[in-house]
Amino acid sequence: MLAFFRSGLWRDLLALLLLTVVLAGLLAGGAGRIVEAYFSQAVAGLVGAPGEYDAIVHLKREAGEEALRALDERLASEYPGYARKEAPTVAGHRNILIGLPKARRDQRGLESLPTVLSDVPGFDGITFIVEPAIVIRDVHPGLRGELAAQARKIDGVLFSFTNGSSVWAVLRSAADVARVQGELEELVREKVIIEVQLPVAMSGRASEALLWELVTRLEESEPGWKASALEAGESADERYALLQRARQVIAELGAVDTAELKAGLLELADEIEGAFAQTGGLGGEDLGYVIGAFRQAVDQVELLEARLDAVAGELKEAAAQGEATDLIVALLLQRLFDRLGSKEVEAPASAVDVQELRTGIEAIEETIRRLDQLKLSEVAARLRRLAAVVPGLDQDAVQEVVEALDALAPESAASSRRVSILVEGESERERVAAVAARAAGASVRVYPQSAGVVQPDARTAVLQLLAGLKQVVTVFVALLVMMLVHLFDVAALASFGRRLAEIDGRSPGRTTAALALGFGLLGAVMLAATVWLASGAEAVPILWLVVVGGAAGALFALASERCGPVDREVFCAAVSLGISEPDILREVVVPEGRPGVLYWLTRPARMLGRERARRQVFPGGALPA
Amino acid sequence: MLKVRSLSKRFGERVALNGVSLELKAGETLALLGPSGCGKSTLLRCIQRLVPPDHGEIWFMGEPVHELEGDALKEYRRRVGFVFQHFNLIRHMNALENVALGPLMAGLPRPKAFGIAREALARVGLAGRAEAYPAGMSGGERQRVAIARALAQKPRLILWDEPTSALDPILVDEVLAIMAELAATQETAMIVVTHEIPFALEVADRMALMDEGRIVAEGKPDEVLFESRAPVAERLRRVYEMRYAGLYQQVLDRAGRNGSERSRSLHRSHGAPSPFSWRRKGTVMG
Repeated sequence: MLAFFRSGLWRDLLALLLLTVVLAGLLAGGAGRIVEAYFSQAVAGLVGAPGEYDAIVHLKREAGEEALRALDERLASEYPGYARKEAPTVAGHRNILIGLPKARRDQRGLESLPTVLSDVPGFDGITFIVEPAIVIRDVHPGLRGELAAQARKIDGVLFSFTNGSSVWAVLRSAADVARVQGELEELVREKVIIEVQLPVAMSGRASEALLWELVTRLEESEPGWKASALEAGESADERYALLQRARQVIAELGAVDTAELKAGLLELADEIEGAFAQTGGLGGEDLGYVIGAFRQAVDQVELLEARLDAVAGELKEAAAQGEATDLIVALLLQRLFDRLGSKEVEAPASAVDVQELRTGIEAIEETIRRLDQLKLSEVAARLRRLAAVVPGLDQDAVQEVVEALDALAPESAASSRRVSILVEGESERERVAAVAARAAGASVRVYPQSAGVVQPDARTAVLQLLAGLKQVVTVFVALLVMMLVHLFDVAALASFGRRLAEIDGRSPGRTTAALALGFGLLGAVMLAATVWLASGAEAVPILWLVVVGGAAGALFALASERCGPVDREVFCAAVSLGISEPDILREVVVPEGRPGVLYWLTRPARMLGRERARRQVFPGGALPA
Repeated sequence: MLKVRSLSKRFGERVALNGVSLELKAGETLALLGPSGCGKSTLLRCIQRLVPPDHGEIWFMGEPVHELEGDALKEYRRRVGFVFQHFNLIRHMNALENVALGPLMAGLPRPKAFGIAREALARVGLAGRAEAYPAGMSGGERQRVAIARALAQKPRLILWDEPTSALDPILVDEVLAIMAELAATQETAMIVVTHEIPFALEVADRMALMDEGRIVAEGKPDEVLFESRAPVAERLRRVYEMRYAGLYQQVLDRAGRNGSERSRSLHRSHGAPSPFSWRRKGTVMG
């Protein structure tokens, strides 16, 4: 091997390497850029310029032009100054690109867009393409609000909004994409969600105890871990739990015999009026009875109010947690409060001003103490008013509501329940799951999940894909050029090396190994340098290039007798003339082989054999002037 | 001029040369015969250092060839010409360039190198074929170009490795005639590996028989061929008698009329000249 280089051939090899790298680099880089530019233009043609549009509205094609008109109307009314462009129809869906006006391009504007357009005929969903933005997908319902809030605090984030299970962080500038993405990934990485699947037979109280036990054990197991129970979100199990809770409350409400209470109050009012009419006045004992009954009635109503507040509170809370829950709760509330005598969907205001009644009672007592003339007629009137506001919730109505709830509950009524725990400060999900599983015991199943998947916006994701494609094309073209150079030149060089070794009497095995090593190194340097030159700072991992280039170089060296064999006898003839190795390479081996890079590199210095080459180019023998 | 001492060469398990020794004087022609695979070509290639011997010594004009390296080795190779069985011309060079390759690469100026090449081509009767390429030449012409290529180096010794084996019978004579003329001038020592027994008898000063990597007989050609008791010598005798016996008698009859000096000496020793005179009319030599 050293003799090979001592002979001065290294200059030819160096020239071969440099020229190959430069040519292949230019070709590969050019090819990659052409591909990237072509597809980038295609993307821009489809979804507009960066930042031009914010969402794609999907309309069913059969909804026709009516859908488009309705869409325009809705947008004009809610988002004046919007931009619209129709994109290609795909799979029976018309895709309309929507650009929101600057004034409405914020959290509220974007989050309300699906609701605003929900009643457009043929509406079949929205795909947001806000940019520049980073999206955290598959976020647990209990974590969405928190992640959105944390995202807003990151420098460079204009605002954040949620859409389904995704949290979007819209950026001020595209230059911040990489940094913000990194920060969000860091944010998400340190959160692990543990889904604990509880057995069916476990009671609510035991479940809660287990939940807090798990939280405590998780926090205690590692110093940096912080665990907390996550609110249940929109899931079949959670919806079922909500419905069951509502059912329970309604049933308890039904246990309050409001009809009897109402009747009692009316009866009391009648008695007071009757007594007043008969006697013209009531004695202290009668008054005391009346007031006691009045107080009792007020207590009962207060109790009822409290229960109504509790129900309303729970259902209202559930209403804040998602559309589907809203719908169910809205239905429940609507149905319930229809029965309860209220037409409002929201939680009812207090049906009775208990405080006012109590004040009234105290006033009455005061009056009695002062022995003022008791306005019993007013008392009776008040009792009647009280009776009027007592809900007429009869057992049939309760049963009807309960049956409605049962119909809405999923068939998985008998299914197991899940609770979620958020663990912060640890990125290895399996580790957290192992701790939770140990703490929970064998009867409980534990599943680790990530807090979400961070991705750039659609265009950036596509551009990243395109960048990847560009790298693939660059590497492919570089590899192709390198293989051609190996086929045309390197194989012949390797065979030449073998011939030299044979003349010198060196071991064939060692020669093969040396050639494989040497040309493997050449191949590695060639490919790595070519791709680096073509791609610049976006180079593919260097180790991969070194391995592939090295393998290709070694392969061609090993297969040199098949790819570019140097005729042993012609070589011997040249050696027998006492010609030096570089001269043999330049005058005999290279011209006899394929016309590769070395052929043209050595051509200027070649002394013989040029006439035939000229005649091959100019068959008539006439040389250009 | 050339001394080979106990030369040995093994290719894997196969012993190609087993302690071969020989000597050659300046201007002498040695014919080397033997069955295929006995080591004749290996011996020549070892002498030319195209194949490195495992053991032994090679001395050329007092220089230890077996120890030469680098430029000294290249210089030695220039002084020892080699003519291959299959010509081994360089396809992309014409006849003139093939012949001029050696002198040009040795550093001679282009005009001088090409001048020497033209002279060498003329010597082998191919002056008018200088621009021809090997693909457009006959086998005999190609071998003559190869001979001219060797001659252009003005070697002190020429090694011939079955130069006529790849030629058809018509062309064999062309080449043998040149070889005979060269041998006759005694300017250059030659070792000729050949199966052409008559040529060896006629032209060679000495003959050596090889068998299984060893020289089994050596001496004057007719003595070696007709008197050696070595098994290979007996086989050669049988071949010679089978192929040439009838014709030989005719030659014996003609020998007295116009044979060469060698023929006449053979005639004197055996009573008739050899029929195989390669002195052709029109062949330009010297």
